Amino acid sequence: MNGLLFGKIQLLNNFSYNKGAYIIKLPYFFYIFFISLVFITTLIYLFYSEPFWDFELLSFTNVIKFTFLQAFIATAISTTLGFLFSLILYISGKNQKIISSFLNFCFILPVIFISFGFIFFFSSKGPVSVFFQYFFDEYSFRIFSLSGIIIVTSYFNIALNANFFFRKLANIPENYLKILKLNGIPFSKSIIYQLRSYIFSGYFSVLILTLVFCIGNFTIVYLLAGSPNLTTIELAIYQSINFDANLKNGIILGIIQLVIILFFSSFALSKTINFNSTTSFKKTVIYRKSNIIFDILFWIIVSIFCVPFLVLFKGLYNFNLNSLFSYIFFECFLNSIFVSISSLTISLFLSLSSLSIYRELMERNFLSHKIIFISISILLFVPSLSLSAMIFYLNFTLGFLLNNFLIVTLINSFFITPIIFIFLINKFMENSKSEYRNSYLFNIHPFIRLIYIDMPKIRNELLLISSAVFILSLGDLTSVTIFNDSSFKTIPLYISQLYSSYRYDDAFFILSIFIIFILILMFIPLRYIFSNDKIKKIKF
Amino acid sequence: MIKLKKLNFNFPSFSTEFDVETSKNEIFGVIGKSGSGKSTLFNLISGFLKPHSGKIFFDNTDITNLEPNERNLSILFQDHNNFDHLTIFQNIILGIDPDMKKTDDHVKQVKKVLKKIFLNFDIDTKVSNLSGGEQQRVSIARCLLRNKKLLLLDEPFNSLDPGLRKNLYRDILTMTKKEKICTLISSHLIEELKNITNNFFFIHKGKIIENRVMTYQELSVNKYFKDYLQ
Repeated sequence: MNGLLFGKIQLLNNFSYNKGAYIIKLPYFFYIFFISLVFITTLIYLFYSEPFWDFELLSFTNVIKFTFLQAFIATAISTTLGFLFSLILYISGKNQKIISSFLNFCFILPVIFISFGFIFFFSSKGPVSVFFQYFFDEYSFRIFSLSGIIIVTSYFNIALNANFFFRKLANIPENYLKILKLNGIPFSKSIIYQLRSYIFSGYFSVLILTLVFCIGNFTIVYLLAGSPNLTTIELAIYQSINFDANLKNGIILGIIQLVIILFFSSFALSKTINFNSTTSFKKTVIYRKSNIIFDILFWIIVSIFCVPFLVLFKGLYNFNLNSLFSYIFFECFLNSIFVSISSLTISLFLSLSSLSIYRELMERNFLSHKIIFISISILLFVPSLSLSAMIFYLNFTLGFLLNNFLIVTLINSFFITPIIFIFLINKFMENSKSEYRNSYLFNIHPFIRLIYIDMPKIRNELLLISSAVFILSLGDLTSVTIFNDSSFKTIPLYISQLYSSYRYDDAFFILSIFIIFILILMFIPLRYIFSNDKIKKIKF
Repeated sequence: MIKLKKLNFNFPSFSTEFDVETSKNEIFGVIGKSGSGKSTLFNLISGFLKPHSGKIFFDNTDITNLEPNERNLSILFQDHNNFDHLTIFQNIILGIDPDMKKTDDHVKQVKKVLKKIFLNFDIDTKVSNLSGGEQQRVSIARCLLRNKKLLLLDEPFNSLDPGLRKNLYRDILTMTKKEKICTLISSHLIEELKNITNNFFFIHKGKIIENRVMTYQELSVNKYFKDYLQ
């Protein structure tokens, strides 16, 4: 086997050495060229067109106020509940692997699904209203309000925070727990005195990330804002571009949001977040509380996380073959799939290319590898709607003939590339020094190294993150809210339009089918990864 | 003096039964192959595992059903003996005060034990800034401060270099003799153990061979021990 591989390496090494090196770098250079072009054209547009700024000051102040209000409340709730939930999940000691996987996947579930899940849950015919109306005739809860926005925003961020703390708790060295137990220190006390700095180390980055996600809140506010007062900067960008046809205001608002986000992110720049750190799920024998209170608390938390899934019952109850076999559903479904596949392909090329350049610069001890990291990760902070506006303007000015499909695909790829890049970076850099020495020693070409050494190494992580970002792209409802037409709509947009036109049953039904499809997509890579982990016996 | 009476613990695919008695408080080497049950023995004695049957006596007191903190013992592991993010003072004082309050009396006590083990550092230094050997010394200082009569050392110095190991074994030997404590040391480094004791428990497949403490000379003719050395 090794001989065969070595033979292939030799063969490919002889095959156009220089061409291969450029092929790897090409996607990154193309990206830098394109993004620079977008920003330069935008700057020229901003400086040479009149008037520079025509956004009403009062509305602007309200937008800023509301953006921060909802972001701070949601961040505070997410942090507190995330920490408490993780403690209960850890101490109860039940199904730790499943919980950790579920918390990971919660974060990539489509926003439209979670939003509609809560809309149904709190609707006049939903479980909460039915229950409370039994006791109070007048009961009604308005989900289309600040409370609704905060509930849904917190759902995602609680999962993010709980996941962080849960992993920290699960990774506490067993000997630490033994020392605490030996010295008669209760777990609750040790969290305050001995383990606090261990559990909270690295949390600042997650806190900032939570705040940044909340500040850049669009889809949730788009779906749940019940009045014009409930507008975040992202929603204001959407309104400027879509309703006022004012690209410039949209772009300026985007720049303001970018500055705000970068300001907060700069506090966390020195810290790194390990997205794919391994967790050993030891049974927490030492501090396990097998009492009924923790069991009840455990099931309450599980129920809270399952709330949005109740909409699946409602949707499937209204099973409607006509909706499923309609032309429009089919068209939207195919559009969603094509957009996601294209976005994933572009992102994979771009992120692998960036990772290779990043590693090459790092191995040669060039500090410039940091520029590669920043140039890719900055995409996480650029408001996607502003970027859409910029690309739209570039397209319009230079006559690139990008249609809605291409614009949405590009925006999606730019959004998911940094996620793939950051997720893969640790695994990609593993054994980098020794691989570099060997590659240099055996004259192994970077392209060959990428295909035969790196790809098998990152295979499982690549599969997992590809599936995750594919789902993210599939459920995306940002740029497509602006760039759509009669022949180009995606499933999330179709569902939101069904709901706005009061076809609730159809909206819930299509949503349920869509989510079942997504859940299947989630489990395919897991099955593959676990089947790969099994040791294969070889018969001689 | 420690006495284990038919101390039994069953894993799904492996069971252990320890039956042994020591006559006085001194150093005992615990040796055996990996997976033979050495750590299980330590976990049972320290109370982190509850035996399915049998009894544990220490100084003629039945400690089988006591919680780890109620047993008169201290333990040192191979790693993670200290909280890396805490200071030397905090790591030592938590042995007697969970709140880790920095009172004058506490500072005095910590400085006293640090002097005993020749560790000259500012007590507010973070443990993560110390070398491996210095970190293990901090753990020994905590054991000294706790002043317990039974000390369990679960391969504590295996990752350190030979010179450091020699010094730390010397510290343990001094401490055991001075405080008259019973010390059980688990290690694969038999030649080094021989320098500080000639009392051994040899564990094979979950049982102590011959259910008694053996000298190295007695062990060297045992066929399981010969296998182990090979």
